Amino acid sequence: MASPRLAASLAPLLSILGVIVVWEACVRLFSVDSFLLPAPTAIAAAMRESADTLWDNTLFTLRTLAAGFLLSVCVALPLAILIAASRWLAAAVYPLLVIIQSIPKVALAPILIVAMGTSEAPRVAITFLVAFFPLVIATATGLLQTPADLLRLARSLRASRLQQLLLIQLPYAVPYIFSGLKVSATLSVIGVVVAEFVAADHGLGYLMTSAMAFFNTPLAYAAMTVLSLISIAAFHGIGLLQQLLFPWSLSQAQAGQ
Amino acid sequence: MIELRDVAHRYAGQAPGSHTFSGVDLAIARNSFVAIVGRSGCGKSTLLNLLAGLDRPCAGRVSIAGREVDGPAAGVSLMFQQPNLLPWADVLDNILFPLKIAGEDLGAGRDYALRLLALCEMEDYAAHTPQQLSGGMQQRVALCRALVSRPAVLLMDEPFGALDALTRELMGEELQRLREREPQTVVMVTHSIEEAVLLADRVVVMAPSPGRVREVVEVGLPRPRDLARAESREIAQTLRRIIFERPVEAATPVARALEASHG
Repeated sequence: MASPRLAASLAPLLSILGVIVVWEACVRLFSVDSFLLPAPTAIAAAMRESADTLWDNTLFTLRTLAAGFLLSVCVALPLAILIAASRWLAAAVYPLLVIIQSIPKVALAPILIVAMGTSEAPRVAITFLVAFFPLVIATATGLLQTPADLLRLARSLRASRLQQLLLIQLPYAVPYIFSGLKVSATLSVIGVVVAEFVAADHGLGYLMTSAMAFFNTPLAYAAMTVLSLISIAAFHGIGLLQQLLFPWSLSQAQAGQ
Repeated sequence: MIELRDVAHRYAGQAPGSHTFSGVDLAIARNSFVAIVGRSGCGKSTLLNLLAGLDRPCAGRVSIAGREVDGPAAGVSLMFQQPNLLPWADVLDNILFPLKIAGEDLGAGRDYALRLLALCEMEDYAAHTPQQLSGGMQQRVALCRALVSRPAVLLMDEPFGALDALTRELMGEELQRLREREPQTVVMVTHSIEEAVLLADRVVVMAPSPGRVREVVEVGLPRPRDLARAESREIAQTLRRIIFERPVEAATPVARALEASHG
């Protein structure tokens, strides 16, 4: 009899496998046309046949994704520190952040392309705009959640504001920052696809739209599968990074903080 | 010498005219051990915060070694009810944290930190993380952290309050052992009358509503102390009576008079 832990780790694999089997069976059983809903085997065949195309476009998408995500990290972390450091700044910046967040990025994409041209810049900008908000909020929350007793300890030791930030608040916020990074990374994938839908001649988003224009649905699904894999890899990659660099932060997160 | 002269405190938002405590006069001799006891709300922890420089009085003067306390001072260390260890640092780094903040030499500090750990019988735990320790062990690490900078004054805010009775007793013994090697002035807020009798040279009894010093009781028993002895039980009984039975109106602060009589 399998242990509960083994069963728990097998459960997601089994459920995904189950969906794929049911999907394949339904397509075959009801003879669904490939351009309406391709079977998983048809998608796998499209991935094999168009491997080079998929690879080229994946690299293009990854470049935009990395630039947009890194930009969001570079902007979000200092902004969150400023928000946590100053109540006045928090009051001034929060409404702006909410306004930016409330704008539908799909609607913003064509406007940005007109303003910034058809280069890489608008695609990076859209990815950044989609990704940075949750990271700012998560980081600022982590910094502000630092227990009052730890700050009291720092004050009693005559720690400067910078020491408080670097030696207490930022380490304490690590689990929050990594939660924000995970959300931002997956949202970055959405951002880059939106940008490529609107303005690109390469990339997985562009490949999906062009494949659908020719009713090559299996290829569109193949591109979508790669995008999903990128998203999952980013999510788990960040989790792995957290485990390697800050193993203590996992038990802190589990403790419910 | 720690001195409080006619000290009053009120929190922002407190009703006009009301105070956390007022008219507190207290003098604590160098290297003595003073316990502060009293019912909840009498301002014990606030008094400790004033000594730590984490809060300011609204009237009166608080001074340590002749210098007015206007903020956290070097040579004054504070220990809390909770260990407040940094979860991302191991035991040794937690103990060295005050030296790191002060920008002091960590090499020399490391040797002393390991000696402190050895005195607490925790030398094998230097590389452990706080999560791997029991509550009592965490508090021992917090005690080492409070002592690593060799403070002249150690302020303790119910440091053993969250521990079980046996661990409390062991911690008290450890504190005594550490003080014998490196004496310092200790002011400890505690809810435990027995702990105060076991550890303190003098016990300051505070009264609530409004907070003030009701009486200072000299313990004057030889060490090591034993709560089973009649003299210890008698002092504990006296303290209990002062805290719970004696009418507030009848109390007279005698702290300064006692201090004067004991030099």
